[in-house]
Amino acid sequence: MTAETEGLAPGAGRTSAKRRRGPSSRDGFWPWLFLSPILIGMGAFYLWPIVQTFYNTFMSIGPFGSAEFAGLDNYRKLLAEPDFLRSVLNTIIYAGIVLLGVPMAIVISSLLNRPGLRFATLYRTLFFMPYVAMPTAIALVWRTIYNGDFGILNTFLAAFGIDGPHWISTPGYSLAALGAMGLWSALGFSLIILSAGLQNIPTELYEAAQLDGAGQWRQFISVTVPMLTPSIFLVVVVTSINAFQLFDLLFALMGPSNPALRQTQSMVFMFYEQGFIINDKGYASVIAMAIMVIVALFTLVQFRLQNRWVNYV
Amino acid sequence: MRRRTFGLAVAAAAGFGLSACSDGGGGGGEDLAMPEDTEISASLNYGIWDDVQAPAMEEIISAFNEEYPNIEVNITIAPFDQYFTRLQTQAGSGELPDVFWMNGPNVQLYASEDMLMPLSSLIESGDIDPANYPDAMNALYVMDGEQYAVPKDFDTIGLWFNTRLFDEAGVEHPTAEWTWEDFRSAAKTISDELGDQGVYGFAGGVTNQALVYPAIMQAGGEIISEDGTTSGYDSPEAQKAFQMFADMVEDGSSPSVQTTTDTDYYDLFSSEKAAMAWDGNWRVATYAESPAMENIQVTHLPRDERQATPIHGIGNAVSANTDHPEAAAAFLAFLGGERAAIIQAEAGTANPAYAGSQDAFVESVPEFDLQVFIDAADEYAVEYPVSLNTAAWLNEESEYFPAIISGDMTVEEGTRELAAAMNEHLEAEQG
Repeated sequence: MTAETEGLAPGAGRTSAKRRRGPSSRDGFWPWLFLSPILIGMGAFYLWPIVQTFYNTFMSIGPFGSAEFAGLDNYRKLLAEPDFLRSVLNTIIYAGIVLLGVPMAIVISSLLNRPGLRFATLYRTLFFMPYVAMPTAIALVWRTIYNGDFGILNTFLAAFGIDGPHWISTPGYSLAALGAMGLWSALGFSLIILSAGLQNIPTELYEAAQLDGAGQWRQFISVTVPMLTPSIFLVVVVTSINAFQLFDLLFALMGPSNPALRQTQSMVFMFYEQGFIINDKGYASVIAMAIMVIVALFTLVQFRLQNRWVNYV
Repeated sequence: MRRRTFGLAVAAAAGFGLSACSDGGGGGGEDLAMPEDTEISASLNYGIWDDVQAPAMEEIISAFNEEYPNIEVNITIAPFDQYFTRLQTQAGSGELPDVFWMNGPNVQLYASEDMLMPLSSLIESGDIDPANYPDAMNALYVMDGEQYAVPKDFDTIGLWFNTRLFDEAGVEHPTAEWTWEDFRSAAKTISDELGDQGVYGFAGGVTNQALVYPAIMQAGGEIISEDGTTSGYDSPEAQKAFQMFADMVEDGSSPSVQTTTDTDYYDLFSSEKAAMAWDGNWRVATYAESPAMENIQVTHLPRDERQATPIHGIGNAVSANTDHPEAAAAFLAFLGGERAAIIQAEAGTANPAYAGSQDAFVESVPEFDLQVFIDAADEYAVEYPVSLNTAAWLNEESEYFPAIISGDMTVEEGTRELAAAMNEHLEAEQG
């Protein structure tokens, strides 16, 4: 077949090369038709807004959409903004705390997957529930837990003679408190993905390891974790993207006029503040683009590093 | 998934809000006029943010339909937190409701961008009479001599106190004649006497409308200059007001800012952890339903150089782009009239702005002396401070108020920085 087409016009040769990769040329418009709902959706709701936001970074925009060309003013403003660096740092620290949940999830999910564990479904549901709960509801509950004067956490600590701080209104503590809440609410997602990954590990591997004299811990380190790396990779990527987009948990936990807000605010919070409170939508667009670039870079690095530690069988 | 897409969704929303350019903006040229006959038929949207008040609004619409049977009015409710974000998007795409609630911090922005119908023609024709509303309240909705909204209700601030805690500490109850000195020494004594029960003399907080604004006004100062171009925060009067609240936190008369961040000042007050609170008449229902209800009383705020409270209230406004200006005018005039006011007062969910219609509201909780709020509006209320883009410097307030009152910054340093930041926003407004 290839020999035949080679004798034809150069254009036809290209078609055959394409044909080897996929059926698109022969199938005409049908694949595109079936893809169109998602393509149109992606284009209209993801790609076009990104283009538009990029365009807006060069504009000075009024509250009702009137725009004037502003050149690089918005970019200059961002570079001169000390608050932005602070919020990038806050977000990275927050992401770091939330990512501590991944090793915890690995241990918990392998415990949940032990054969013969009673009420395994119940535990799995309990762990997953925070993930499907509304962030605002979660934050409101944690607000009462963290309350410095009447909260359950400080009451608990007081039983051991520890005088707990005002967790969410003291700079320094607030970011840790926020991170702990974020870790807790992200744990369920990691658990589900990792549990699915665990079930794909062939039992023969454990049998073989056992024959070689490997104990429980050794099996966990030498079989479970390496075999689980593709799932771990997915969980790490998704968890960090989520963490980088921290907004709703922060917004609802901190509340207005919190003295620790500046030391805790995230990048997306700053975007919201500039765009929807101060009404400087051009500047907010620059922040939005910066967030996108930072998240993209971070994810790219993770993908680049993956062949160093991820085993695809 | 929901969370992962959030940031992009926000970016998308922003993108759309921005890309939708305001093609329909500005109906400034035409004058609003009442319909010639009551048989006019139209369908209007009425945008509001308080679902507690929705039943009263429905009742007003039925009463309105007795006069104009063929004008259908549909209420759309968005919670306050989203109301103005949504309104802004609607305004940007020419989709504003025909008639909608407006507030002080936003009115100048919408008026200056030609989003609101000027109302002077209705005032000239006598269908709306500004004299029916408290002066300082009506002034909030007048910009460059033109009226842009009709006052619907109003709130002023009073001194709420807990008689049981006063009696236990052996302190005389507050009176309308109290000065700042009386107030401070009572708060200190109660904190000293009842501190071991975790009770504070004053509930404190860091709010603007109920705490910092009234104090600055009482000291004889202003939050923003009359022409709206300079901040008053670095004035000696403002510093005196901040100093009082910072001192009260310092000497334990009121709780730390951390405590009021974790537990709102009004929750401390309604759970009898504080003997006094400065709060508006919007809190009547909260306090009336609290377990401490029978110990709670209200009187006038203490005075310093003068007696003062800010006055603020919702206004009803008409979209400049409405397709039914005559029907909207008829509805607006009805909303601003006595009958609508009395319906609201009887519902007890808002204190109507229409002069003489507040009796029903005052009687809605006979245990409280709610006449205080009406008298405050009539006798000494001061216009609520706003400018073109009020939200920008409100944001500075919420950063600096806690810092100053908690003592993290000195009053001198904090007020200077706050005034500078606010002036920067005000300068940006001038363009």
